[in-house]
Amino acid sequence: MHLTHMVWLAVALPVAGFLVNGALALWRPQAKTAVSVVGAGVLLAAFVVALGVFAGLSNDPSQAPVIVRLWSWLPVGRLKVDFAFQVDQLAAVMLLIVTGVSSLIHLFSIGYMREDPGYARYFSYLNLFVVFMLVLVLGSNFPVLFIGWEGVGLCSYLLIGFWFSDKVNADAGKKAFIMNRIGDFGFLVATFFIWRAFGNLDFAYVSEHAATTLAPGGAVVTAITLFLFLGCTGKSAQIPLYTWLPDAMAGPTPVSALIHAATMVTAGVYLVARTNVLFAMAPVSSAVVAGIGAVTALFAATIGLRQYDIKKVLAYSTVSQLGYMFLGAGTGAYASGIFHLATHAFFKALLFLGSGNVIHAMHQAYHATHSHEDAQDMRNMGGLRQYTPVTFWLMLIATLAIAGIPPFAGFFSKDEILAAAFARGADAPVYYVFYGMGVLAALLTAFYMARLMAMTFFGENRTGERERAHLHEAPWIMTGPLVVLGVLSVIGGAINLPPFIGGHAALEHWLEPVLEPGLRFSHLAMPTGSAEYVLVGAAVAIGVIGLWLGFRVTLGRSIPVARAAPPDRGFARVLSRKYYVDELYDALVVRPLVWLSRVVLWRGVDQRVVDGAAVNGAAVVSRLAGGGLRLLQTGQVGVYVVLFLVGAVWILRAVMR
Amino acid sequence: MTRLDLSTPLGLTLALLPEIVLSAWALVVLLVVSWRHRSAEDSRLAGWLSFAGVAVSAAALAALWVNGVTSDGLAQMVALDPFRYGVAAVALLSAGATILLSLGYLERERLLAPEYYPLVLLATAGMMFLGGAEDLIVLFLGLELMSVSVYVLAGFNRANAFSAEAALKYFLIGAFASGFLLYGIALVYGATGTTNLSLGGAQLAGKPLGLMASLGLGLLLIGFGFKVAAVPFHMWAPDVYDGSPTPVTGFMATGVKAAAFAALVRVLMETFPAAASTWQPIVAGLAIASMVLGNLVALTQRSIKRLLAYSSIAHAGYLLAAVWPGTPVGAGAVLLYLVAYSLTTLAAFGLLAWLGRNGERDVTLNDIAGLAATRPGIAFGLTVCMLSLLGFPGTFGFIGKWYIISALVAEGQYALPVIVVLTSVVSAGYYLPIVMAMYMRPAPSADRYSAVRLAPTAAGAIAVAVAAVLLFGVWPAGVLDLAGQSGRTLTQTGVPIAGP
Repeated sequence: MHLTHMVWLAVALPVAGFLVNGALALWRPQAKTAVSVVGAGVLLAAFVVALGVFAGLSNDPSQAPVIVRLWSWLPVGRLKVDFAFQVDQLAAVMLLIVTGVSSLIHLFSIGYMREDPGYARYFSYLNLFVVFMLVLVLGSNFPVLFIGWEGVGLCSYLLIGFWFSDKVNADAGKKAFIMNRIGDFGFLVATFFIWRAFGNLDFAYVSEHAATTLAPGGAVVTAITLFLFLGCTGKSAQIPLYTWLPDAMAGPTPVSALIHAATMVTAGVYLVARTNVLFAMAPVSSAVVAGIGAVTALFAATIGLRQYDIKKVLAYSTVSQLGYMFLGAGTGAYASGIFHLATHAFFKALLFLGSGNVIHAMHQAYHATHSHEDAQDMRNMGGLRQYTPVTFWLMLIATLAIAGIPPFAGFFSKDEILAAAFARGADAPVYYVFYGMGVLAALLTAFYMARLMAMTFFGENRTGERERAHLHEAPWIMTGPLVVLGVLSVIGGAINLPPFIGGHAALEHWLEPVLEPGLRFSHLAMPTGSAEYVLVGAAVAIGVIGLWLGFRVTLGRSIPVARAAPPDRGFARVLSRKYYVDELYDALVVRPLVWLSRVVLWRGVDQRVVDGAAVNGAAVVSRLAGGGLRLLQTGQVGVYVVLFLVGAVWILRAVMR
Repeated sequence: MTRLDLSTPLGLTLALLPEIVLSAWALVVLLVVSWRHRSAEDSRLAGWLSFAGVAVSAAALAALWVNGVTSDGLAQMVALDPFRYGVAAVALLSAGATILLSLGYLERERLLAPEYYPLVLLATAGMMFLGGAEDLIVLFLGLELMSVSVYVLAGFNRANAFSAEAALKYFLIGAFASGFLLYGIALVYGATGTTNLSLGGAQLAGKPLGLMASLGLGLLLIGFGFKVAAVPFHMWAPDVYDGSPTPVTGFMATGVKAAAFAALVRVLMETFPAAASTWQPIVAGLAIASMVLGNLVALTQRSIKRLLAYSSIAHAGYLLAAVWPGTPVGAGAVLLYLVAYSLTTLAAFGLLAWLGRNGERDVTLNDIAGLAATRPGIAFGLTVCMLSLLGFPGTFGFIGKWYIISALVAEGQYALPVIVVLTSVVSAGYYLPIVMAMYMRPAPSADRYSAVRLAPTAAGAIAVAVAAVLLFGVWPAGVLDLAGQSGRTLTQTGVPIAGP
C-alpha cells in the first residue's frame, strides 16, 4: 500500500485519543496516568505516521498530489464535495510541524497540568484540536478545510476559557470566537465566489484552472483573495482582527504555545500558500496582504515594547511574526512564508513553554507562601537565571533565533522574507516601504526580547524574600520537550539554507510542485551577489543592535515590583494600553451594536411586533380554534359516525362530479 | 436482478417468504404459549421468540431486497418490487421495536398474557400483505388480518376501562369502514372485471372514469381515510391511541399507518393513475383538514399521549400531501417519511411508556418538569423525537418533510407545501413546551424521577432509533437513494400490460 494512503490514520489517532480522553473526563477524571499515555501517545504515533507519509511522498517521482477520498459528503445537484484529504508537499510539511510540535507540547502538558482537576478534559480538548488542525491542513477542498478551520476555532475557544469559572477567561474565549467569526464570514464569501467562478471547490481543480477561468488582476480574483484574506486576518490575528490573540493568553500556557503560536494562528499563512495561484493573479490583493503584514509586524512590535506580562509580550511578538509571514506570502515568496512558519513554530513554542516553566516556578513560589502577587508579571521576576538555568539557556537560544542572529533558525527565514520584499520593490516601489517597516520591526523584536530576557533572568531577584527559596526548575517532562525545541531552533534553518552559504534551498525546491502555479504569475528575482551580502549584513547588524539596546536600557535602571510600580506616562502609556484599540472597537462597534439590538431590535421589534402581535396573536387564535374543534371530540361513537358520514358524502360527491 | 416465476409453487413461496415465515412463526409461538402462559418468564420467552421471528422474517426480506427480486411477467397477487420491501421493512421495524418495548412494560403493568406477542406477529403479517398486495382481495385480507389483531391488542389491558372502551370503539368504527372499503372493491371489480391492481389500471386507462369506477374510488378513499386516521375519519384515533397500552399505541401509529398508506399509494398509482384529476382534490382536502385540525387541537391537549395522538393525525396530513403528486418521487417521499416518522414515533411512545407512574394515561407537562437534571438520557431522547416530529433541521424528520415539499413543488403544487410549513410552525407550539418543561423547569422534588428506569431492552431499542434519527438527519444520502429507487419501481409494474 502506498504510504500516503495511510494518511487517514494520522487523523484517526487523535480522534481515538479525543474519544478515550473524553470518556475518561466524563467518568474517570482521576485516571491521570491513562490520560497522559493516551493523550501524548496518539500524537507520537501520529508523528510517526506523518514521517511515513513524508517519506512516501519524497519517494514518489511523479510529485503529483495524492487525493485520498474518504466518502462523498455533499452530493447536491452540481455541487459535489467529497470528504477527501490531499497529500502534497505543502500538506506534508504542515503535517510534520503540527504532529511534531503537538507531540512535544502534549508531553510538556503532562508536567504543567498535573495538578489541574480538569486534566482529562484538557487532554481531550487538546487531542480534538489536533484532529481539526490536521483536517485543516489535509483537506482537499475549501469546505473540508473549513471544517478544520471552524473546529480549531472551537477548540481554541474551549481552551482559552479552560478555567471558565473566572469570568475574564470566559470573556477572552468569547472574544476570540467572535473575532474569528468575522473572519469566517470572509472565508465563506470567498468560497461562494469560487464556486460561482469555477463550479468546483477542489484545490487541485482551482489551482489547475485558475489561469484559464479568471482574468489576472481582474475584479473577481481580487474579490476572492481579499475575502480569503479577511478570513486570514481573523484566524492569524492580523490588523484589524488581532485583538483577540493577546487576550487568548488567558488559557493554559501550553495551549498558548500550541494553538496561539505554533499551529492554529498560522492557518492563514497556510491558506495563502495553498491558494497561491489566486493571490499571484491578484497583485492588488497581494500588496494588501504584504502591507497588512508589514504594518502588523511593526505595530504589534511597538506594543510588545511596553508589556509587563511575560505572556503578553510573547503574544504581541506572535502577532508581529505572523505579520512577517504575510509579508513574505504577499510578496510572492510563499516558500519563505512557510519557512518562517516552521522556524517560528520551533522558537515561539520554545519561548512559550519556557515562559510556562518560569510561570510554573513563580506560581509554586507564591503558592508556597500563599502570596497573591502576579506570577506572570516580569517586574516580579528578575535573576531567575540561577533558579531555572535550563530554561534560561533554552530561552536565550530562542531569543537569538527570533532576533535574527545567525546561525539560529529565525535568521534565515526572516532574512529571506526581507530580501524578497526588497526584491519586489524593483517592480512596485511600495514594497520598499514594506521592507523598511520589516527592518524596523526586526529592530524592535530584538529589543523587546532582550527586555524580556533581562527583566526575567538578569539583575536582582524581585520575587520576594520568603518566596525565593521556593523557586525551582521544572521537572524533566517539561524541560525535555524544550531541549528538543531548542535543538530545532538552532538547526531549523538547515531545512532551507540559502545558496550563498552553500545550501540549496531544500524547502523551496520541495514545495515547488505546489507553488509552481503561483510562481508562474509572479516571478521573483531574488537579490544576488553584493546586494545580497549588504542586505544580510544589515539584518544581522539590526538584530545585534536591538539586543544590545534592549539589555542596556532594561538593566540600566532599577525595576520596581509590580505592586509598587508607578503608572506609565506619555507615549509609554499609549503603548502599554495597546493604542486603546480595544476601547476604540468597544466605542465604535460593540456599544452601537448592543444599543441597536437591545433598544430597537429586542424591545421594539421583537417584544412588541414579533412576540406581541405576531406570535402571541397567532397562538391565541390557534388555541381558540383548537379549543373549538376539540369540542367535537365528545367520546360518543354516534357523533363520530355522523362526522364519518359527512366526510363520506363529501368524497362521494367529489368523485361523481 | 433475479426474476421469480410466480406461476410455480417454488416461485410463489420464495416471493412470499417473509410473510410465510412470520405467519408460521406466530402459530408456533401461539403453540408454545398455550403451555407456558403464567409467569413473567413465560411472557419474556414468548417475547424473545417473537423477536427472533421478526428477525428471521427480516432476513428473508433482506434476501429478496438485496437480490433485487422482481416477478417474471405480471405479478398476480403480491408485488415484487422495492416499494413492497420498503414498506415491509417499516412494518418489521415497527414490530421489532414494539416487542422490545413491551418486554419490560407488560411485566411492569402486570399484563402477563403472552398471547400478546403472536398477535403482534399476525398483525405484522397483515401489514406486509396489505402493503405488498397487488390484488384487491389480498389487500382486503391483509387489512382484516391486521385490523382484527390490533383490535385485540388495543383492548389488551382488560382491567382498564379506557383500554376496553378504546378497543370497542376501534372495532365498531373499523367494521363500519371495512364495509365501505369492501363495497369499493366490489364496484371496482364491477367496472374493470378484475381485482388485480395493474390490470384494473390498464382497463381504466385512456377514457373518463365511469360512474361505477368513480363510486368505487370514492368508497376506497373513505376506507383508507379511516385506516390512516385522516380528518374527518379520525375521530376514533385520539380515544383509541389514548386508551391502548402505550407500546400498542406506538405500533398502531407506525406499522398500521405505514401499511395503509402503502396500499393507498399503490391503488392510486396503479389502478387510478388516469383519474388523478378526480382523486387529487380529495387527497388534498383530506391532507389540509388533517394538518390543520390535528395541529390545532394538539395545542390544547394536557396529556402528552393524547397530544401525540393528535400529532399523528397531523402527520397523516403531511403523508397525504406526499400522496398527492402520484409520481414516483411522491411515492418515494411517502416511504421516506414513513421511515422517519416510524423511527421517531416508536422512540417517543417508548419513552412515554416509562414516564408514567401508575399506568401512563395522564402524563402531563408537570410530570416531566425538570427531567433533564436527573435523567439526561431520557430527556435527550425525547427532545430529539420532538424536534424530529417538528421537522427541525439535523433530524430525520426534517429530511422527510423536505422531501415531501420537493416532491410537491416538482409537480408545480405550491399551496400544499405552504400549508405543510405553516402547520409545522403551529406544531412547534406543542412540541417545544415538552422540551422546555424537561430542561427549563425545576423538578418538583429531587428524587421525583428516581423510580424512572428504562428496561435494558427498551433503552437499547430507543437508543438505536434516536441514533438513526440523528444519523439520517445529517447523512440522508443513503436512505434518500433507497426511497427514490423504491418510488420509481412502483409505476413500472403495470406498464407492460397497459399497451395494446
